[in-house]
Amino acid sequence: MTPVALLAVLALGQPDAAFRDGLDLRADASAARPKFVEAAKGYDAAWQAGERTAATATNRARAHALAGDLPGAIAAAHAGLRLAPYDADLLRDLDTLRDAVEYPQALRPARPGGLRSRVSPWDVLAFAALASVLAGVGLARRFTTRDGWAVPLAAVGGVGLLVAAIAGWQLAREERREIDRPVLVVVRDTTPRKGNGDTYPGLTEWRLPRGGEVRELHRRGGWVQAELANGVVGWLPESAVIVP
Amino acid sequence: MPPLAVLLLLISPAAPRPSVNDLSPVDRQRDDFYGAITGGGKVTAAWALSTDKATLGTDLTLTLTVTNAANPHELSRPPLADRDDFRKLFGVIEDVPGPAPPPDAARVEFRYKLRPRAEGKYSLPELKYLYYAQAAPPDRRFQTAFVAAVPFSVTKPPVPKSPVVPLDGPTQFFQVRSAAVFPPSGGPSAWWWAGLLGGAAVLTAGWIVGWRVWYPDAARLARIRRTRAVRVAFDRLRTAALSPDPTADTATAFRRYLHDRFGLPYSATTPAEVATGLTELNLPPDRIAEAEQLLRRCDAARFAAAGDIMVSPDEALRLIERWEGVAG
Repeated sequence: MTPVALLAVLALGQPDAAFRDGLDLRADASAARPKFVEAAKGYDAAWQAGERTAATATNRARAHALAGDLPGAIAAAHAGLRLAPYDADLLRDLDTLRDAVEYPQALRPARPGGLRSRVSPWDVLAFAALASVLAGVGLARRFTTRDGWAVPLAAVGGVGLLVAAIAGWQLAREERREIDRPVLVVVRDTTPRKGNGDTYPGLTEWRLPRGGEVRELHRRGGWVQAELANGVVGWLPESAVIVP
Repeated sequence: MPPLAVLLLLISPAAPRPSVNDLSPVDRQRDDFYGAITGGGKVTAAWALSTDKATLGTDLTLTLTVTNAANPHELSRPPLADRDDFRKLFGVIEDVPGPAPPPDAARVEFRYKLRPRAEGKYSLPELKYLYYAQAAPPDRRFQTAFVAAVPFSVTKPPVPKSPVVPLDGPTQFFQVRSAAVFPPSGGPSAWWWAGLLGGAAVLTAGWIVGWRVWYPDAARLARIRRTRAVRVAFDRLRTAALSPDPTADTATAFRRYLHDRFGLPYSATTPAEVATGLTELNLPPDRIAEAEQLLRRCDAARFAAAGDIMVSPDEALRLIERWEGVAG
């Protein structure tokens, strides 16, 4: 934990302790909720101060959810997934949170896909390390004792390194796509409009529900051009969305 | 009191009770005059609230008590609902009717139901209460009894306790997740990748260099084996030792070595042809002689009686090793 994070946590109390207090009071929702609100604030502060781990993100999302802040919970889950897109707990929590959003038809985002949600960069590193060992042993034996299996072993290692390189490239590509089109979370029921102003007509008959997710394309004059899950592009006021 | 005075008092007729009807209409309609007349002494009036700590939304009972009026049955109720200062404080101002006081009552009480408008600390407004003093000089017969202000406070009503409802949510949300030590969040930095690839390269190179330092002969042998012709010859000579005719296989392997290593024509098969071919290839004469001699011994061994002459594949191996600088 960085010194700044430590100070933030000390200032706001231990969010874990507040979370556990909330769990102890679970039988009474009116008593438990303030504890989860306190925990959510503590996790937010820790996150902002640099205490960014998948566990912090998970607890942050859960605290927001139990405090009744659905958009905050979804945003926290996305913030964690941006850091650890392969994290199973965060993926499952996000799926559960989406169940609570009253999406119009076909607007619920798909589950995170791609290689990033299945393989972590550390997995690729471990695989590359194994392939390096194979290639290294094969090459060493090839240039020393010239064993018959040396060249095939080195070839297997080389192929492994190639696969690791391709996987790394794909992970970087998917990460770039995420950065280029970040997720925004809708904080109140909002009608997407055809232009960046209230005078423009609504794009749809329905409203984007609180907790809904869109992808940011552009910003202009206090409005955000965003792509909905069904591919439709509309404008939302900046005040109606939060950035995870 | 002297007995005579007591007697006179008993036999004298009772003085008639004063009445507002004895006053002129103008006097009767004076502001803040509610009909109280006194034959002597002062009329007093006072507020009394049912409580000085009221709760918003509930009613207060205000009692106005007038004492020492000579005509208690004629007193009228001050209309508080018409007063702005009261309407400002109370949303509801209602008269609470009571029994009519008897003509000889010492005091008269008027009750009101009041409902405060908002929470806070207030003071019940003063009331100017005029009464008519019959015994006073004519120009001072209307006198005033002020009803003193009464402080009171209004507080929020207690929030009714809602029924206890358990907090609902997905089961997994009611767990605190502990931070894992590994893997750290985020991906490995470029240093990890550089360390992995660089480390693998350094270790491999170190292995090779170390091996050559520790096994210098083996290193030279390995260098020789890089020549395909030598490697093939070695392999063939090793397998020739296990064959049914090791001498013939030794000769074949050695000729093949000469073909592959020095470019000897494949047409050169006999020892003489081999010697001629090697001479044309400018090999040193001693090597030509050694090669020719080995092949001749092989031929001799093949065509001699069994067991007279033996040529071991190791002889050819040692010869090649010596030529290639491995041994001897």
